[in-house]
Formats: sequence, C-alpha cells, structure tokens
Amino acid sequence: MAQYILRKLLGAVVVIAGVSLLVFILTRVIGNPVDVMLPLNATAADRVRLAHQLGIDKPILTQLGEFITGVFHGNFGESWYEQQPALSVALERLPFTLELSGIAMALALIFAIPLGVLSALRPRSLLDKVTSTLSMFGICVPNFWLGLVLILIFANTLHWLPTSGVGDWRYLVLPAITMAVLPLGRITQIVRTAMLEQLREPYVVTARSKGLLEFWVVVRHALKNAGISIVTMSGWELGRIIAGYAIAIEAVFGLPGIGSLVVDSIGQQDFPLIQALTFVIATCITLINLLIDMTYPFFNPRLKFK
Amino acid sequence: MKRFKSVSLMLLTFVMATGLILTGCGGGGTTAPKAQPKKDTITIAIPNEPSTMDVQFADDGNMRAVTDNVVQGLLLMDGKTLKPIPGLATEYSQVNSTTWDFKLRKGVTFQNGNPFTADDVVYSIKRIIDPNFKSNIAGDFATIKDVQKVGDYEVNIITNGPDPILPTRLTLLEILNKKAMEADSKGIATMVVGTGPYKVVSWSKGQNIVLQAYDGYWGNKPAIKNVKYRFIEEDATRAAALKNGEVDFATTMLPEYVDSLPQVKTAEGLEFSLVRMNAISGVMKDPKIRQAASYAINWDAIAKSLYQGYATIGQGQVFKSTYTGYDPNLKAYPFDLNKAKQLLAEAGYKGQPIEFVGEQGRWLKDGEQIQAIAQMLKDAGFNVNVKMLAFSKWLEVLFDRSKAPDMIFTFHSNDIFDADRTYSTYVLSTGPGSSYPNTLDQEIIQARTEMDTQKRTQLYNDIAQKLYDDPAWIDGVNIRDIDGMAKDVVYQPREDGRLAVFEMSFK
Amino acid sequence: MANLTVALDQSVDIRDSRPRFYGLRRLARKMVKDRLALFAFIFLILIFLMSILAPLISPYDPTTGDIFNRLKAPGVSPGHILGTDALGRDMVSRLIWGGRVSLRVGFITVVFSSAVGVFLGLLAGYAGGKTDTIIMGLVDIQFAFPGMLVALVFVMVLGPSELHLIEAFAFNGWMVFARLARSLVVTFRDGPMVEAAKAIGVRPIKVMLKHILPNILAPITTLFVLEVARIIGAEAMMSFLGYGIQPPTASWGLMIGEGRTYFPMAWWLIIYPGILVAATVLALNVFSNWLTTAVDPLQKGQSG
Repeated sequence: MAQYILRKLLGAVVVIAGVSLLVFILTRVIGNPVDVMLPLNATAADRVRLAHQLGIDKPILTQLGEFITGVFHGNFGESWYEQQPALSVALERLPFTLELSGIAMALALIFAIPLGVLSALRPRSLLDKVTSTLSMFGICVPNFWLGLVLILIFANTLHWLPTSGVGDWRYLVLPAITMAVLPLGRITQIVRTAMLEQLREPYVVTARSKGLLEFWVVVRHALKNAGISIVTMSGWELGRIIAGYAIAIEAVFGLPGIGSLVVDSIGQQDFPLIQALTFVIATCITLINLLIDMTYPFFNPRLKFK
Repeated sequence: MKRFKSVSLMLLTFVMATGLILTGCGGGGTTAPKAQPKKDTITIAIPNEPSTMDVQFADDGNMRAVTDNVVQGLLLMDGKTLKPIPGLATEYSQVNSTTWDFKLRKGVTFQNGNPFTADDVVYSIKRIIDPNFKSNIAGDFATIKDVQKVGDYEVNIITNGPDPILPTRLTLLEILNKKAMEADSKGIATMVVGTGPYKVVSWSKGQNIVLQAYDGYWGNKPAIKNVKYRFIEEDATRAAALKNGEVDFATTMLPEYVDSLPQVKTAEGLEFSLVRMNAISGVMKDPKIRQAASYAINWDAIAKSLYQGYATIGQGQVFKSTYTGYDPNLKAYPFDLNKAKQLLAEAGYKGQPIEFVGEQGRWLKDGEQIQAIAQMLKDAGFNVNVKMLAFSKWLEVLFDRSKAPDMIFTFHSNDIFDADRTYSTYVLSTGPGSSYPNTLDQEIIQARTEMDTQKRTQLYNDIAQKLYDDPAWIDGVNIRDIDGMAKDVVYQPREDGRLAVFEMSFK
Repeated sequence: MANLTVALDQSVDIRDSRPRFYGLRRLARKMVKDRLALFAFIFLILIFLMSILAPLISPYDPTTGDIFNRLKAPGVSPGHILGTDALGRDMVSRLIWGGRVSLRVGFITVVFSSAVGVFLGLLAGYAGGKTDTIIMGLVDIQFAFPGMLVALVFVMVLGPSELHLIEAFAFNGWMVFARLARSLVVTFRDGPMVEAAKAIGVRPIKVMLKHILPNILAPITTLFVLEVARIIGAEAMMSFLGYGIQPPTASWGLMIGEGRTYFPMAWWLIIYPGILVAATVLALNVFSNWLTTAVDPLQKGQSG
C-alpha cells in the first residue's frame, strides 16, 4: 500500500515537473513581456532597464537554474504585475474556483446518478431517450456560449439573477449551472453504461432472487460496482473544470477564480504568475487523480494495490 | 414495472431531499426588504481590477480610477480647462531656467494621521526617478534631475534642461507618506496612503475595493461617504449590472447602450485613434501615397455610424483645442476617393501589398475601427493586408523602428495635454514609436525646451503644418468617454479622463 | 486496472473487438434505419458542402461590410436574412466562412495528432519493453496535463494564428490515439495471425502496417470523429477568448467573442454561431456513436 502510494506520488512529481518545465521553455525562450508593462512613450533605455530588473536579460540556463532553486523553496518569483509572490497570488484565487467547481460537480452528480440509473433500468424507454438526448446536448453545447445565453435570459431579460461577479448565493447560480452541464452529460452517460453492464451480471440476479428490496439491489450492489467508473469519470471532469472550463466560464461571469487569472496573466505575459498557475493547476489535477485511485478498494475490495 | 417504480420513487425522493438541503444552505432566508436610510454608498463598476495600488509604479487606468481619489500631487488638474491648479503646493515660481520653487500647503495630514511636509515630497520624487525603482511611468518624469528640501514647507525641483511643462508633469506625480513607506515598503501594493478626499478601507482581491471619506481632508469634503468598486470586464455585463441596479455607476459604456441606460453623461475623452505610416522605408515612403491614404478614409462614417456620433474627427492633428500646440488653422483631410486614386496613380503605385498591423480589445471598438479603415483603403485601391496581433506582439512591432510595418493602428492618449508628448513619441526619429525620418527632429527638440509659450506654440504649429503635408500618420477620431449612472447620481465626467468620485453626489 | 481505464476512456470494449468495416451497402442500410444517425450524417454532409463551396455560395464577402448598415436584426435589412454584425457584414456569409475555418482546424489538427499518435501507439504496443514505457509514460502525463492552459501559453508566445492553434492542439491531442492504438495492438500482437507472419520472417514494420493497422482502423476512425468534434469546440473557445483565429477572418468562436459586446441588443450575433458549433459537435458525436455500433455488432445493445 505504502509502496503503491509512493509510486503514484513519484509519478505525480514527474508530471508536475514536466508541465512546469514545458511552460518555462515556452515562456522564456520566445516571450517578451517588457513592452506590455511600459507605457507607450517609454524609451529604449526604459526597456533595457526593465528587462534587467525582471532578470530576463540573463542567459536562459541561468534563468532555469534560478527558477528550479526557487521552486524548491516554494518561490516562483514575484508576479510582475501585482508585485507580490506569484504562488500566493495564484493560491489566493484557488479556493473560489474549488468552491464553484465543487458546487457544479455536486449539482452534476445529484442529477446524473439517478438519471443514469433510471435510464439503465429501462433502456429504450422514453425517459432513457430524453436523458440520452439531453446528456448528448450537455456534452456538445460550448459552455462559454451557454453562459452568455443564460445571462441573456435570466439576468438581462427576466432580471431574476445577477449578471456577474460575486455576492450572495444568487451570484453562483448561473455559473454553477453553466459549469455543471458538461460533467452532467458525461457522467449520466457513464452511469448508464456502467449500470447496464452491472445489471447483466449474475450477482444481481442472485441478489434479486434472495428477495432483497430492489432499491438495495440497485444501490448496494450494482451502483457500488459501477462506482469505479463513476468516480473515475467524476474526477476527470473535476480536473477538466479546473484546468479548462473554468478559464472561459469565469471570464464570462467575471469571477475571481484561478481561471480568470489564467486569462489575465497570459494577457499581461506575467511569466512568474503563469508558471505558478501551471504548477498549482497541475498539482490539483494530480491530487484529484491520486484521490480517485485511493477510492478504488472501497468499491471493489478484490482490487488490491499492487 | 413495479421494480422500476419503487426505485424511481426512492431516487426521486433522494434528489428532492438533496435539492431542499442545498437551497436551505444557500438561502439563508429571503432577502429582507431593505430599510431606506439616506444613501451614502456608491457602487462603481470599472472594467478591470487594478494590478496594484503603487501609484508610482504602474501605468494602469483601472488603478487610477480608484487612486485618483486617494492620492494627490503637488499640483492638481482642472477637469475642465486642463490647466494645473494648486494642490499640495499652494504656489510655485521659477528660480532660473532649470530650478523651480514650490511652497507647500500647511496643515495637511495623510490618511494615517501623519502631517504632510517637505520630507514626503523629497521622498516621493526621489523614489520615482530612482532608476533602480522599476517605475513604469518614470518616462513622464525623465526631465526631473533632483529635488531639494528648502524648508519644512518648501522644496526646489531641478530639471535636466529647461522644461516648460514641468507643472503639468507634476499633476501625475503622486505624493506618498515617507514614514509609512519606510515602515512598510511593500504595503503600498495593496493599500496606498495619500492626502486625498478618500482613504482605502479594504481590497478583497477579485471582488471589490472599498473607500471611505477621509475626515481630516484639507479640501472640500466629498458628498458621498462610502465608495465600493466592482470589476466587470465585459462591457455588456457592466451595462446590465447598472440596469439591474447592482451598481450605481459604470464607466466606458458603448454608444449602443446609451438608450437603454438610466442616465448617461459624456466628456471628450483623451484617446485619439491614429494610423501610423512608415515614412522611412517600404511602399509608403512616398509622401503622395501617405496623402492618398489620408484622403481615403471616411472618418465621418466611422464617427457617425460606428461610434454613433460619440466621436470627433481630429482636425489635421491628434490634439484637442485645449492642448498646447493645437493649430486652429488646420482642417481634417476631406474624404475624397478620386483624389486618393489620383495620388496613387501619380506615385506609380501598382498594388504592392501593404501590411496593416492592428490589435483588438484594448480600446473602445478598436478592432472594428481597424477593419473599417482597412476596407476603406481597399476601396481606394490600396492592397491592404490586415494583421491582427496580440497586444504584446503589437507593442513590440509598434516600438521597433527597424521592423516598422507599412501601417499600424494605435490609440494615442496625451495625458500632459502638450504636443511634445505626441511628437517626441511618434515623430522624433529617436522616439520610441517613430517611423519618420529625422527632418523635424531639430524643431521638436527646440520646442521642447522653449520657455516662451507664444514661441512654443508657433514652433508646434509649424511642425503640425509640415506633418500635414508629409504625414507621419492618418489622424483618426477622438472618442468620447461615456459614463452610465443611476438616475439619482449627479456627476459630470471630466475632460482629463479621471474618475473623480469626490465630485459625485446623490440627488 | 490499466485496461479498465482504457475501456472507460475510449468507450471501445477491447474484449469484443473484432471490428471491421462491413460492406458500404450494409452500412448505408443501417444508417437509414437509425434516423438520428441519418439526420446527423445529412447535417454533416451539408456543413461540409457549405464549407467547401463557401466561395461559390456565400452571398457576400465575409470580411467586407457596409458600415452604415450595421447591427441589423435578421430580416430587417433586405438581402441579409440573418442580419448584419457590428461592421455591417452579412451574418450568413460569415457563418458559412466561419464553418470552413472551424472544420479546417478540426480536421488538420486531428489528421496530424492521429497520425503521430497511432504511429507511436503501434510502436509502443508492438515493441514493448523500454519503448513502451517511455511512450506510455509521456501519454500518462496527459492526465495531469492542463491542455487548455498550455495551448493558451503556446499561442500567447508564438502569436495567435490558425497555424499555431493547430500546432498547440495537435501537441496535446496525439496521446489519446497512442493510448487507443497501443491497447488494440496488444490484443492483436500475440494473436495467431501476427505470430504466423512473424514466423515466416515478415519484417516488424510490415507486420504492423499490413496486419495490425487494418484491424484497428474502425475504433481509430471512431475516435478520429470524436476528436474532430472536441477540437472544433476547443477552437471556438480559444477564438472566443481572443487567442485563436484573428479578425477579420470569420470563425464561429470568434463571432461569439466579437458579438459579446453587443449581445444584449443584438442576440443574433452570438445565437447563430453558438447553435452551429453545438449542432456540428453534436452531429459528429452522434455519427461517431453510430459508427461504433455499426461496425461492431457485438456492442449494439449498449448505445440504445
């Protein structure tokens, strides 16, 4: 067990280091942030001086060395724009995104599991067809666009909900729904597929013949065994939200999460911040994957950690 | 069948229960009808969150929308006449061509309670001109050589050479509290202390900034006690927030929104669009082709249709009549397709490709303006290729004389209201954004150090005249600043583009 | 465990896979029976034709407009059925040309990513050993790979353009193909046919191309279609954020991005391109699903 975790952790470290290095190479080799930071009337001397201050006039290997030493001390340098440690700027925005994506995932699961189970119990029924169609739509609609359409309907036209920003719970309704739609579609599909498979297995028949209440047959036996696929898919979706959907959705709703910070830092070519953000996001995804792996034995005790 | 029903029933119950729990958690009771005491808080929506509050470091319009109400310079800007007026200095005089004497205001305190003295002025000026302090706005104060304390309430500022516009420059140089800065040099990034009418109460990153009227302010007390800034990037969303009553004030509105907003006030903004042309190499080196381009653009269409009348055409220059160096005798190039085609033919233009570089999203309708201009140039016979770049790439191109494209679009904002800013950026052959030969260099440098206003104006008018015939750029339009506000807000936007909350009040 | 992940990811069940393309006529008959798939297929054909024939069927030039005729609602201005945009350009023309760009980006990207991915996957699966470990190690990174973030950084550094967009997407798109190809190869590698080929001294590369590739073509095609759908969605998002296709070129995502400022008073600017993105992605998904079952009768029960 300990060895298994250790191996997984080691893999995670390699992944995070790889992604960080890639972004380092991308940003330092070609990018030039100096012009963005200076006013339009800055002189050539201003430019050289700022490049020196930022340390981007040094040879690339020296920069890499400094970067790696920094990372080991949890130091990604100062955000060039905000003049504060880049890592803390990035971490400051993380809780919001985690909260929002947590709500979105909860929303997705609450609907996806029952819908998926019911569809699997009655394949080809009306419910199944409607569910399949809707989940397909959920997967295909570009979510940033859906967000705009929801704002248009519920905020601009009906005035039921606020347009954007943060405040009480009403501000989270539209972003959470927008964010939940895609995972909802994917998870519903996976629940349905996994349940269909499980319900065909002999143990279900045995359980039924023992006279167990159908609800418990479905939930305790079939659903639990389908759990691995469901949990795996949910974990991936959560990772995708943090590293992908959040970028556009937070930009659309003007939310102070890590996604909108990604867009801002890229617009401002804030290298240290981009670097710190990559690190934080990659770490989040790896941790989620690790946690998912940990849950496998719960669903299927026969699976032992190798 | 029965099996299915029982499962669905239970699952449904589960969903509803969870739903109820969720709403219960989130709800926290319905929003109680608010009592209506006298309104003393204004909520203002600005496009982006400030990057920092270090007013001496950053060149950031969103920051200034907040800090212009918190910090002040030795001189302040009159929002109507665009002339410097007394601020933390009550009077000033010139000792000799490079030394200026400033008498400071007595009895002023910073928002942390510390008294304002000459030490603060010396500290602030030295900080910003220190080459080791990577100020992004150091260029504005490049003419300042040194500052000396004469008494507790008197300082001398020494310039490198004669600098006729030092007073205007000083309206941009904010005075910080030396003691507070020395105690905590990093704190300014999140909370700046100044002598202005409002003090910073809090800044919740990503959410809002709160200001409160400073009781010890030396000038007239502001009418509104509390200010809350929100950051809403999307123009449409900012407008919707105003319409929904989520905010009382929203800056930078589009002309298209005007009819649907509760109240709108406008002011002539500072931004002039211009299309810089490459006069040193390539196809456009021939002045006839550059003149042809000037005749080819229907600015009237852009001002009236694209900006719906909320833009004014530059009259042969990118200055407003209040700027030093404005030439009242110049008129805009008329829109004349035949003349443009004729000039192109005379110049022997045979459809060589012309590269037109632009960016989008930085200024109001910039991308749309570029595409409209490109189309008009095509109609006149120019073989234009539009190349839209990301802002940072666009800046690199704008500032690299050796890589100057045939044409590049930019907005120019002259925040010292003086022709020198424009000419030494885009015309002077050593200017950062210039693709113009050195033919006017001497005159520009001469005008820059000429202390006699009459003579300076004369020099600038002469330069403007020459630039009209041998253009460095196509003059564009000056777009109006449009502010949207709730019905009960009283405010007239300023001509200098600053957002002065201390001039706002409720009906 | 590894196998389980693969099955989940690709929704292609390896145990049953003896996938093969049946006769075209049989496929056509199946298509007519499945009305949803038929509908999707017809829609896709139309979108394809529209993109290929854009220069011929587009009523106006998508990049030139009449500035005095801007923001006209659908039907208000004669000749502009779906209205005009903020520069007075015809919406219909921009939608047609925008589809051309979206499909082009989608297909070119996936052609590259699938070629590279399938090759590396075959190599890993066939060679095994260290080659396998290295290639699959790279593929595993993909799980923690913030693809969109890296694509954004990539495009920021190199400058937004169609080419750079394709490069960025292909860069992190090959792994899914490698994973699928490898898992399929492993099931065939030890099969009698390959054994026989090896026994009579056929070179490994020939074995891979002649005997393994044809057998795994069907699941790869299915994944190809799915990936095109994914890339079209990703292109829309990048262009929407301003880091994709640049104006004045039309792309559906860019149209949504450009229309964003005006959408409270001009809904048509974002509604039409959004519907087209959704419909195209949907049709590709439906088609891919149908393909999975059509070429593999054993899975028929599953996709309802």
